[in-house]
Amino acid sequence: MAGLVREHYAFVWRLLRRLGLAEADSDDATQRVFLAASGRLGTVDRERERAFLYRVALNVGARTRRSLGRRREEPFESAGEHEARELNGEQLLERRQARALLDRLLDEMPEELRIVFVLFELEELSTPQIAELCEVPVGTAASRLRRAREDFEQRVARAEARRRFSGGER
Amino acid sequence: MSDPERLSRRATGLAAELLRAGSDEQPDARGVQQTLLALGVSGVVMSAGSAAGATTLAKAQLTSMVSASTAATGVGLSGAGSINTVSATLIVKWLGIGAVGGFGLAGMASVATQPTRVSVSQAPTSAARVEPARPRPATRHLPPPAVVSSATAEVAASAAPLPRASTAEVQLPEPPTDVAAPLAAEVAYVDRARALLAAGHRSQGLLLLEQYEQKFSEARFLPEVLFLRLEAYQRADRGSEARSMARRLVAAFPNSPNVGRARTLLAE
Repeated sequence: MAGLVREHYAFVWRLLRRLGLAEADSDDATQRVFLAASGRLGTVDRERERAFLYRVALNVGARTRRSLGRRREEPFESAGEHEARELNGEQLLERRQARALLDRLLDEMPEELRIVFVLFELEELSTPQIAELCEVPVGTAASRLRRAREDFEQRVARAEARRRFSGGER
Repeated sequence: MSDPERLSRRATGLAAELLRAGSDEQPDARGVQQTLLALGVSGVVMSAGSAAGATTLAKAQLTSMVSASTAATGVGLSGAGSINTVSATLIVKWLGIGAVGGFGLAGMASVATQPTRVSVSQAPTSAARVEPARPRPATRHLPPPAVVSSATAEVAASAAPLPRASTAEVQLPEPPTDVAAPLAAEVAYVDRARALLAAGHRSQGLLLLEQYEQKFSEARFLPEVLFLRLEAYQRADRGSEARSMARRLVAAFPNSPNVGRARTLLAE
């Protein structure tokens, strides 16, 4: 179990973040994912552990979001260790603002597209891996990914236009 | 069916900025420890006192911290085997909360002590002992670049997959004997992580590397640590995190000898 936590903690945590939880909520929710999973992991094949954790994370994330309501945008959350070390104040602020905007755009995407997009573009999983996690045919995962990318690019284009024409709104 | 090129590789402007911000985000390394504590994993390890149930990192930290406590406070502990579960759990909790100073204390306490030996429980079968790859640093005057570059070279040279020993004992390097030598402590710490990785205990080695920046404020071996993490993530098929390390390495240490490989990874 310890190895499993160490291996998949970051994946689960980032997934919950991109599914709309704030940093502190993701810390708690990630812990709940592993607590919930610990009772059943003994029955899961080694190569299916990640998929199992993913599904637990989706459930925990959805419940957490429902209980907390819409997530606060927190562009000024405390900086991570490496970011605080390597970025100056202005860069840190820009990184935080970018993350807040990313989360806002993801929040606006349909859930099934958002999940596929996050897994492919941010976690860099392959389409077959995503199909397995989401329990859909590979063709379905590829189709969702294509629509998700189009959707995201359109949203980014609109955000860029707003930023350009309304005095830097992000 | 081949995957399309990822947007992060071809996007420019705002889209690239957003994707980079999302994929670079890392959780606080303390979250792993807190989760392990919540699961009771560490407590089990320490109450065992025997090799049977012991797990690498927690026991390594425990052993170090017990030594540290003994030396620093004069509180006599009658040996790891006599630690009961409750006190062990308390110590682990203390470790989880105050882990930043743990290895520093371990360094202070380990004067004239036996080498720390860690029994790795994830290892399934045969007993294998992994000796330190090189002599451990003895004084604060050890030239850091040579030490770490050799460590990095060893890891880089091992192109084959890391061995997955079943039951292995990892002979950890002794903590530095010079209590006023934070540099030696850093070297020993990185060496410990590297030894774990070389022994196939990737998750434990990675955990040490992920906590390195919290433990050492100066982080003088950060380029090497980033590169070790990059390699370990690659081997673990964690491409996103490997690329994140590559980006950090290129951005923060453009003159590092390992930056070429990082750039190659980013260009793939």
